[in-house]
Amino acid sequence: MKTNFTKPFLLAGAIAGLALLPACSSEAEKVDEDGTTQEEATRTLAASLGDLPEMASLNGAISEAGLGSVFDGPGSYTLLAPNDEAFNALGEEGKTLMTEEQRPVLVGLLREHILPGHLTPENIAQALEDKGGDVTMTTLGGGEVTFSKDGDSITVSNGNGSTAKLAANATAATNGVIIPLDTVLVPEEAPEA
Amino acid sequence: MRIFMAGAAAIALAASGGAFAQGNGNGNGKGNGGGKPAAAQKHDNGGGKKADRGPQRMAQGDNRGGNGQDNRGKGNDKSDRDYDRKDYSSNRGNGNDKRDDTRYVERRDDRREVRVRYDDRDDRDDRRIITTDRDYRWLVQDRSRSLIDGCPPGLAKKRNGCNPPGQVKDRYQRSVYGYNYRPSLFGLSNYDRRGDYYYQDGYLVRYGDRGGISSWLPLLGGALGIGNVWPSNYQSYRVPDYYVDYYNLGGPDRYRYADNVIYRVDPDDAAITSIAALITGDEFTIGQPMPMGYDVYNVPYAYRDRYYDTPDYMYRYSDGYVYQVDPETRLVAAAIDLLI
Repeated sequence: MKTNFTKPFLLAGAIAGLALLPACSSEAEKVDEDGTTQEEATRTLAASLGDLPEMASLNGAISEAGLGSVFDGPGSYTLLAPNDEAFNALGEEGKTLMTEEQRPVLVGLLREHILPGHLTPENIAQALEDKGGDVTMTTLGGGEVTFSKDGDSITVSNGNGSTAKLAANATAATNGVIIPLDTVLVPEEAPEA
Repeated sequence: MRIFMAGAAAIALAASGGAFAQGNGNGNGKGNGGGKPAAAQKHDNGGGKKADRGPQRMAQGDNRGGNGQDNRGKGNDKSDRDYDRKDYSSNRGNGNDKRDDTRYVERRDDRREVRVRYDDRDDRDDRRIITTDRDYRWLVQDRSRSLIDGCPPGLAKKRNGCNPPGQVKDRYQRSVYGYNYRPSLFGLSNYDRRGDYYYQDGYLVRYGDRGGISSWLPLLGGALGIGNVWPSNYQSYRVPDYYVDYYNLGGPDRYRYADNVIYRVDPDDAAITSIAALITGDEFTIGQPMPMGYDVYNVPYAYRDRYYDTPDYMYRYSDGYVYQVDPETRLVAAAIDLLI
């Protein structure tokens, strides 16, 4: 893999790409140049997530919640992955969520960020284009999320008062995809009684 | 360099999935389609040889349908199905479980036999396609749950654990989000949304007229956390053998299933060892509309080169199966077994 980067005209792009690579993993097959999905040819979603630099909070939350094994198994899942900044932005609420007492609530929150199957941002963009409007996916928490086009970017909403922007550089692992988000999708409004 | 460029091309193809695939030989397929056997579309990609196999495939499909009916009795009749479901949900007796066991065993034997008998890849492909209805009683049963009566064993051990919360009531009543607890906050969609719910020490609870806890549910991450023993009054249902194999669950004493979560447990003491899988619980019934919430192509990585969206068919993944769906009517045409 290293030798691929010796050509001078590729070097600049490669270095730029390396900065975005998950912890300079030698197993990452591709270097993204324009925010397209990177592929992890041999690693599971759980392993890939552990190496992503901006995902320490989420990774910690998933470990705390005991959900790591789900992303290490045969089932295919797409993880809408709020980055560390997104978790920080939750402030006190976020800190409380991370306490042991609140773990079931944290699990519920995380489940609303998990979608069935392998969806890349490119697939979502294609679906938005094909449908000419918003598209919906069910979550593994019993709810659903809606993807919308917002200029050149894509947003995702939980239909409950929270919207996030899909960041570039998704990671496609053997058993799923990690799509970074800039906001945690919190159920802000009281569910219908 | 070449590797790099090839990689870039590959990623572009893979990433765009269905979109690119449509230009990728689909034209042949449409011409050869003929009777358009369910789920045969992916063979079109290969050209003449495979397309010729169409009638054979249809015949096989029919045979499978026949088998299914023998096994299932009247379950295949669509007009009966709703009735059956109601029936099962109201009769959650042991009798049903036993019937389930028998048939699951038959199915597993059948699949093993298939594995031995069909080495050829094309035949294997044929066997992947399921056009008969699968058994969803376990999901129907799972959906018809209600809270468990009484006080949870974990709280009963604590002093005053089952009594009214008193001064700390507000803490038990309001979630971190600022409003009252609801089952949906915990990924629970099978329960009455109305009413006053409280969260206490890993359980979702309700209080009775006399003030004490009258009913409860153990929560994933709380009472159902790793290391905790499975609460025996929290009904676990047996999943079809397909899922035992797909999620590598081992045997019935090694897992528990409830509320769309499959747990691995220690067979000796039923302590939860890990979460094996989360499932949607969505039912994709052949001939019926696809459930809502599958607008985006989501076929798992390993199957994307086989099952990609075309004008004739689209493919969606849910809970261990890939489903073939008519893009116009949204009717489910076939389920694809990912184990064979």
